[in-house]
Amino acid sequence: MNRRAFAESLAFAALAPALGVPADSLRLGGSSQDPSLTSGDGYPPVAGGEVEDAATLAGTLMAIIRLEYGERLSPADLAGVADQIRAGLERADLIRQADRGHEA
Amino acid sequence: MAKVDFLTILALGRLLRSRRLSVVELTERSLDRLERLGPTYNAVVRVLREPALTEARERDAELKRGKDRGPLHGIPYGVKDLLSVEGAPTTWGASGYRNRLHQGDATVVRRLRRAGAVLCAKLAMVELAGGMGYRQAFATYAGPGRTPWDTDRWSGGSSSGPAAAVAAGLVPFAIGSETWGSIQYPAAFCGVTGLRPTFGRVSRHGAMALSPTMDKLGPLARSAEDCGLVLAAIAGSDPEDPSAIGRRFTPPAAQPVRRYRIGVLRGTLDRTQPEVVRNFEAALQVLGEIADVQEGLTLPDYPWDAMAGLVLDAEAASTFEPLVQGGRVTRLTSPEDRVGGYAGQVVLARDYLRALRVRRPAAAALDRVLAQVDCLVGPTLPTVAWPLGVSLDQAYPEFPGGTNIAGAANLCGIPGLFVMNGTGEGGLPTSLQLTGRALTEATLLEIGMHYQVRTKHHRQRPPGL
Repeated sequence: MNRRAFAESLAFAALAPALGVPADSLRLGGSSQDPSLTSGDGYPPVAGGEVEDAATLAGTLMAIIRLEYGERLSPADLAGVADQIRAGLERADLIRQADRGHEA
Repeated sequence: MAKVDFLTILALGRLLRSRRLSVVELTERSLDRLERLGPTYNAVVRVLREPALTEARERDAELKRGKDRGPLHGIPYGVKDLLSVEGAPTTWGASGYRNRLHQGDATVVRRLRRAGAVLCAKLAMVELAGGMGYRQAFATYAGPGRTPWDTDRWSGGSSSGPAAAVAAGLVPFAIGSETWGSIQYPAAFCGVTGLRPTFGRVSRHGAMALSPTMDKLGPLARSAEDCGLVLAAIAGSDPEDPSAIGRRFTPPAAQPVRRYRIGVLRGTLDRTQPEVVRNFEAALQVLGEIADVQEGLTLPDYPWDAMAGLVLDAEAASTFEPLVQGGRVTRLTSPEDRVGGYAGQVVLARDYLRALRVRRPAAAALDRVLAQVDCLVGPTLPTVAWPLGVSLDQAYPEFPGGTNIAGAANLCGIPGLFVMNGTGEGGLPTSLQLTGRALTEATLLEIGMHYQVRTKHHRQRPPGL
């Protein structure tokens, strides 16, 4: 387990009771990756695993939105928020890639 | 009297100092037009008639006793309704804040009063300066901003009222703000001159915060020269705003001091309306009289818009957290704005901090490109003003534009000047943008002034005005 996966597993374990779901269901797809596949900063490389991570992370963030604000948001609103969260994570990923690219 | 409605600040000042016009007369003229024509463009939130006339009488009395506060003495103006003015509600364009009073004047308002300018109105804006991701021109309780060039077209946002009020001859200048495009768009769509100053050049004390590391205040006026006069009055450090820098700004000279170097980004004319391309190429010809033009420059390879978007999302989420958590977003006008604040609440700190970290080398790389020239030029926008009633992301989908420096410029806090450079489809204004290194407003304004001396586009009036 790499540093990121470890940190996320702790965070999700803490979050799971609030979300009313088992902690295992929040585990990231990349958490069992071979440590040799991680980049220098401990994050998995930008590849298939990253895409899976992003989808899971988007789901987790959306769960937080549902928990905090779900009562006042319609299904259409929630779908819009989910799109925005996905777009935000895509932006974050572009920045991460640029960060790595310029460090290299 | 109608002749004064479209005069520049210096021309009005000459009339005031020669006693051919009093400050009270000029102010009354402006107040009357704000009240009579403001609603046509949904440009005005509140006319400050009594306080304005009181100030006007004081400025007249001062001139009579020989006290002259400078070029803005006795000049009427308006402010975007995100600036606090003692005794007047500050609504941020949001219906929930219609009656909210802030204590004290914004630093910009205080400085303009000290310079002798007469505040006549608070001007309309997109709600929360667009911080919730609006996609409709009607995203404000004031009604959709309408450009005086065609009231079926949008005036641009979020500084809608300031640009429309200047374009319609309601006030000679106005103060707007830009976080990402909010002076640029209205200046272009309304055919006025707009200046986005360097981040920190102008104190933001008393202004609504949207993105604390990207917000800027700047003037919209009838000419580059006027923008310089206003910037000279409002720039400078401020103990109330630690981000405000103390560097002096002196308005530029009207005479060419040297031959300039102007750069054009590769791809800047891609997927752009033909009339916009034509007018840009004509502008480049004119600029060729005072500058050497270097084409084919490229922006450094960074995800500029992604960085600007993420920083803006995270900072706006923090700024508007009480609004979102308290549920008051549901009272916003635009449906998108009612749900646009939630996703920002879960931006990860690591992603925000990474964007801030990458911004530093990115800004340095951008500065290296800008250091090769005095400024970059390009079309301010790829099309003329967008039709009302169409979602903003659906207007002219065939002309999304080419290489766009707006995200990079706002992320890195560098200045931009926007000047009308002709008309395009439907007789609507097109615009030229000049972008320079940090703190080079004087150079941008100098080049803008030379362009405006050689062309008369900035003197064109909207039809019927």
